[in-house]
Amino acid sequence: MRVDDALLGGILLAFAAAVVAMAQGFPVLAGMDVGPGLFPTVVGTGLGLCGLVLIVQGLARRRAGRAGPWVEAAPWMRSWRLGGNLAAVIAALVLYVLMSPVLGFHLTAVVLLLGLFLMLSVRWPLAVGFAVAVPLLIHYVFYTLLRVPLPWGVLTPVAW
Amino acid sequence: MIDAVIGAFGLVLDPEVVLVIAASALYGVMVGAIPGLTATMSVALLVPITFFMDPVPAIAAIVTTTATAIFAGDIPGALLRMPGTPASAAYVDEAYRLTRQGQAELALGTGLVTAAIGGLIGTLVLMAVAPQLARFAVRFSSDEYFWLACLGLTCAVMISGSSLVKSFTSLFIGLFIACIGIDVAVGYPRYTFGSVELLAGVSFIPAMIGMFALSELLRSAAGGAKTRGPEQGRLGSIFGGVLRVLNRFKINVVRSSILGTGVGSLPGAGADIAAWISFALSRRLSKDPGKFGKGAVEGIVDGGSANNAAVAGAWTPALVFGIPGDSVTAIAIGILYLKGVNPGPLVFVNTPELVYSVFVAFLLANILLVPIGFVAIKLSSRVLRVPQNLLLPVILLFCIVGSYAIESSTFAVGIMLVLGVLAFFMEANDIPVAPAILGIVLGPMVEDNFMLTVMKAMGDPLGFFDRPIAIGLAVITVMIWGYLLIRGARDMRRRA
Repeated sequence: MRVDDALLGGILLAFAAAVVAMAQGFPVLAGMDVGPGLFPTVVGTGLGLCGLVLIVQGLARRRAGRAGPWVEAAPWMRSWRLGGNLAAVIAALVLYVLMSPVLGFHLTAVVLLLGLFLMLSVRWPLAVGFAVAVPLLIHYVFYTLLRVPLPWGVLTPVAW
Repeated sequence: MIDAVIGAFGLVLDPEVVLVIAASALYGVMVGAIPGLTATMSVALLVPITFFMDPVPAIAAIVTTTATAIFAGDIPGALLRMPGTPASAAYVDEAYRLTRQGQAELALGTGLVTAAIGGLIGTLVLMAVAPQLARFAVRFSSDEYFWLACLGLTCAVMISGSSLVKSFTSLFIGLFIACIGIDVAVGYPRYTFGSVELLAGVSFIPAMIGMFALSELLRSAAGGAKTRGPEQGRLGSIFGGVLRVLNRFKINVVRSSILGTGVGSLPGAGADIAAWISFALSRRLSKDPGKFGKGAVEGIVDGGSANNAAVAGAWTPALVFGIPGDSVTAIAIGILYLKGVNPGPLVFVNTPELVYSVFVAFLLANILLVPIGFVAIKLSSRVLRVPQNLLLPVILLFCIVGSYAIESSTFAVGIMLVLGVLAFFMEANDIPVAPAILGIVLGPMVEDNFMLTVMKAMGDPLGFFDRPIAIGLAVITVMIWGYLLIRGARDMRRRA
């Protein structure tokens, strides 16, 4: 998704203004008029300047008649398949955050892998094989070797 | 110094470390050879594992993975005309032409041997220069560090290739992300919106996995995962014609290795830019410029040695000043901080064995590159056939576990998701991601030195200019800023 430079600059400017405005509410050091807000103010000002330059450049290009549409759709916005793939990857991450504390790592991983494989049209036997083998491999590397406490969730009674 | 070198050999030649190096070399070759997976991504995915290692094996793993992944990028470049990593893009056409002429062995063999030689020369330069620079840098205080960081970040922005404003935008986004959490001066929570998890700031590892690995996955999901078979089925003798090529172009190898090391040591310019520059120089200085574009092995010699030399060169500013030369060293610096080692001139005084271990690891990695690269080329047709639709979900799971592993919190997975989506949209709008990562890594250091200098000077702006070296660095930095402003203004007038 391509956004026109002028519009992009506007978004950045608004965001930078919010950053700077919030920084003015931070306390100052005793005996000085600076504090934790100084650095974010500098950074926010820089970001705002970038936004301004983008607005000026974008508008100049528009006046010269060389600007594209305000928002240009990417291939994934025009194709159900590509858009679906993108949504599936993001949904998988959201689902992992929500499900893994309850179901545990192993079950969540198997379910998500299987879902994504089938969505990307991997053949069934291969999909099932990899969906089971990869979490086991990760279990071995991270849980057994590196001792990362991957959550067991509902599988806690059979944890090994 | 001799003691430190011997100590370093002892540390690196420990069986466990050698095993780590061998495994990393295999991993680097695999990832580098798969089109679409960059060397930076391979390091990003490796970081969660190195987090659980001691500093020496951790650094050895990173060094080896980058060096081998950069070479392995040549393999799909020569066989499929798809550079495995951006560093191979400069000479991909020459290599592919050679393959079409039935000389894939020559293209890949030359790439492999020049990569190893370039890497070795780059390491030797690094070994010679870094300790000298460190001796000079020990005298630096917060003023100098502030200006040095500004200079480094400015170079990073200037060189990153895309529009200047957009590079600065990326840098400021990174610096803002570094502001989130408890501040360094008085411990005041900034931009946390009441979230307890954000108090500690945006953790660097999930941020990096999100911006370099997840964004890549999102792009390949949104672009459709495609696979293509390699051009040529069987490969003959790999080293056959290489010796003759090396003998004919020996000056090119030395020239490009040194050039590559130099370019690599500039903050922000990495292996890909080194390869482009020395490839361009190669064409200009060539006795036979008409061959370029039709399969000139000379271009592979120059580009192939420069990009691996740059990998070593990038460690010079990283080790000496704690300022990364490219995104991989930015990641490595982040890891050293996590391990309680603060890169900078004092590392050379306090833990010289660590510095020399980096050197020895580089030497070992580049020597090992030859046999492992040989096997990789032989097996290449199989590696290249791994289908994307199988790979994507597996890498996604590695991203999840990698983000989760450091703090055992699913909040980190959320951070990775948010920053991955951010990076995806940034790149769709030509805003480069690397400056943002430098901003996240260097942000705390810049702010620290900035606030320290402000406090020392009691708010007097002249405090930034009261030491001779600081003035020198400040003058250079301000001159570059002035030049950029003038150039920007002129561009705008011309365009309007």
